[in-house]
Amino acid sequence: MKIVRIILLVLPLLFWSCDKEITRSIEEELPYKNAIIIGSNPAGAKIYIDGKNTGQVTPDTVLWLKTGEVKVTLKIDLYKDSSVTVSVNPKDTLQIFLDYTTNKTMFGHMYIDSNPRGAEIFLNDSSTNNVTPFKIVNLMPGYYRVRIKRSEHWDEEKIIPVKSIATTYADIQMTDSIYWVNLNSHRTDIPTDYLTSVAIEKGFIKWIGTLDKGLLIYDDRKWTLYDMSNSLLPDNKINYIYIDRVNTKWICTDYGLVKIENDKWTLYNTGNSGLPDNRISSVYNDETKIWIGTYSKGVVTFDGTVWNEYNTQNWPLPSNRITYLTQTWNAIWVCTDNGLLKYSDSTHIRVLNSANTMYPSAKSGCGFPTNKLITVAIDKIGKAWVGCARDDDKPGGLAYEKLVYFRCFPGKPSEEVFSIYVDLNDIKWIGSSANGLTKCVTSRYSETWTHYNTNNSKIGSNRIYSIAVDGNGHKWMASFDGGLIKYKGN
Amino acid sequence: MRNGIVLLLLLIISLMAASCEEDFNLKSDYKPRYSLNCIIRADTSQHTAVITRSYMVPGFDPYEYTDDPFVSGADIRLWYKDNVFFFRDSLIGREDTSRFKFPQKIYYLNDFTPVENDFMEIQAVLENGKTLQATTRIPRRIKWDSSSTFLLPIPGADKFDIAWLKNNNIGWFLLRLQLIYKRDGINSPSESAILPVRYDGDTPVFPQPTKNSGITFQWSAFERTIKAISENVQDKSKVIIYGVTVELLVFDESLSKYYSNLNGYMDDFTIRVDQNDFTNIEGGLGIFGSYIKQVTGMKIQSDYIHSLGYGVPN
Repeated sequence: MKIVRIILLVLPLLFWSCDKEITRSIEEELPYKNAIIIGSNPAGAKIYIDGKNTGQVTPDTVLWLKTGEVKVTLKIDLYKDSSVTVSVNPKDTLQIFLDYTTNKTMFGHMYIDSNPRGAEIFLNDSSTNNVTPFKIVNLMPGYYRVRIKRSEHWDEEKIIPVKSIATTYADIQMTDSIYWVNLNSHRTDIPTDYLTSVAIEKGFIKWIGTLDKGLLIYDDRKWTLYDMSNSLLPDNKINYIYIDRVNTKWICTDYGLVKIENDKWTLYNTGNSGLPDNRISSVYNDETKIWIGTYSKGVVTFDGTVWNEYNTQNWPLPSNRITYLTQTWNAIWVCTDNGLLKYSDSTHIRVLNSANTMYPSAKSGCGFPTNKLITVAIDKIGKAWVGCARDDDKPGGLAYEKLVYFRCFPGKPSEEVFSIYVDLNDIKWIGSSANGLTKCVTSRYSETWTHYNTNNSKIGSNRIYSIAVDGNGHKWMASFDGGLIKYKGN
Repeated sequence: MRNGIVLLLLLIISLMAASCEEDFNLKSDYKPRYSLNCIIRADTSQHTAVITRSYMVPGFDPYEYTDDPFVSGADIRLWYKDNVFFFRDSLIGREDTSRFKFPQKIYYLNDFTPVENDFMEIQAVLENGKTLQATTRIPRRIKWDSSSTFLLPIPGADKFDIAWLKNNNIGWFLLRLQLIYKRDGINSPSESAILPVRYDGDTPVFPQPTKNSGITFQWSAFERTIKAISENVQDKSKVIIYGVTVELLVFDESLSKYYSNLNGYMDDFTIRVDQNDFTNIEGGLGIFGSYIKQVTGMKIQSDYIHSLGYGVPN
């Protein structure tokens, strides 16, 4: 009995002594590899799960989804968002596919208007057989190329977005082609908008110099390009183009002078001729000899046999840097960076500059604006019009001969006057660095100025380097950033 | 009978002793845990993230483990203004190869520059489906307090302050002032010296992360530093002093809590924890945070520079 008592006493001790409390962390349950394969037509829809962007786009598989109901939303640019709730479980891999193209609730509309109205509407190059204003309904969302055409106006083209269940309004401004025609690289096949010179052959063929693409010919139908790769041109930068009375073309470059006589090309440079400088600024043919202006060696003449140099050493040239030369009224006019030389014959030579062209009584504001001459033209009564460049802090501008002195217009039409053309009606057409085309009509005591610039007209550029007039009296302008510009006005 | 009782007791006591015996192992069962670390900087477009797993070492020295703890194949995405950015993985060179002999693996994100006060979320899904995620908000830029000194020296003062205006009461900051100089004329390379707030004997004491809105620098510490740069320089006039750049890191809430837990107390109930224990990653360990760096300059008067025998840039 005693033994039994002892055992009963000790046994609980045995179990109690080994008793210990154990805490165990809960086993972490890894997620199931629940997945949905999601596709769409068109592809590329952003996939949202329960309102959260996954960063994935269709077609793709979204993994590690929670078990249970999941809201899948697809978003694609311009289309209405689409959502579906699906039940996800580890046993089945769901597949979702949304075909937007067969869902009519995705359609959108486009309303096209134009100024002026009545333009024919083309959608992605196909005619709609409708004219503006017109509403095109039930279009699939997307970006549409809309082109409108109207007589006497430039075709206009725009990319118009169409969204689901919405109407996109497009109001297109059209540009008239009655007075202004801008032949730039956006509208035509012209290879560059940076032009330096224009001259006209036979009243309609335009010869155009470019900054870096060579020589262009435009006959109102097609562009023909001559450059260093397919011609004798020594450089693709053309300084000046001159066409003489027998239609010989003279192309001035920084690497010599090119003569194009019929289809025969001849290159003159310091290596094969009497030219003292390859940098040619201008040229003139007085039918006895060619007068050539160079950028550092003065004037050169060539009579077909003999080359003669005229520079500050042997001629009253104010500078050897010739910017332009021409002949009219039996005188050669030579623009330099230090004044203007008028040469009639060896006994009638006059150097004009800002000091000696000023009215004696004037304190300022008369005479040449600066001595940096860029261009000269002679009007119907034999008076000279000169264009000047800026000279340090002095603005250039325009000046013209009045009696024996010059009326001057510093900063007018802008600080640099690149070209002056006198038409048959003695109207002066002036191209400048920042004010487009300027028309100047003079009376006995005053001038009437009309400026055509990008703010008040359809002219495509404010930077007009060169002006020529065709057989119809249309002005053609080489602009430095807007291509070739035609003005039909008078 | 008595002997029998004694024998029985001995038997029971032996049983008790044997029944309680168990093998004791200091290491518990190995269960991998994952750590995501990513700090987004608002002053750069390149960001990195690293995911590592815990590991078991043969003995008790963690440095015995030389395998790569980097977790590859994770899908890391960062949400920012309804845009999702994906991290890619890559290798970079490892400077210290004493333990790990192979290049460092990282996840990287390029061309992402967040803006102050913007919210971000990161989520890393490992190959086994394990998800680690966290959020942060880029801290807002601070304004310098007008009591700050941006022209040295202050006549008669034995200290100077750099102070800023706090945007909230939980943000922490790290300030660094660097003296910019050239040691051997204008064509020598630029060098810099970090300015301590003071010296403790010969030991410089540098600014530590702080939740205060300013730090006071002892002028004597500045002088000691600027004089020390010409040690071993024969011609002191060739030393050119450019000035001091003032860099302030403004930490987001997560990083601020991290530094607070390591260095101080958020409130009366907060206890300090070990560096490895702090985390704001849901589903794992590590930290996802952000900071912005603001930099300005401090000028040093030419007269003072000349008085030390140094030069100034022309």
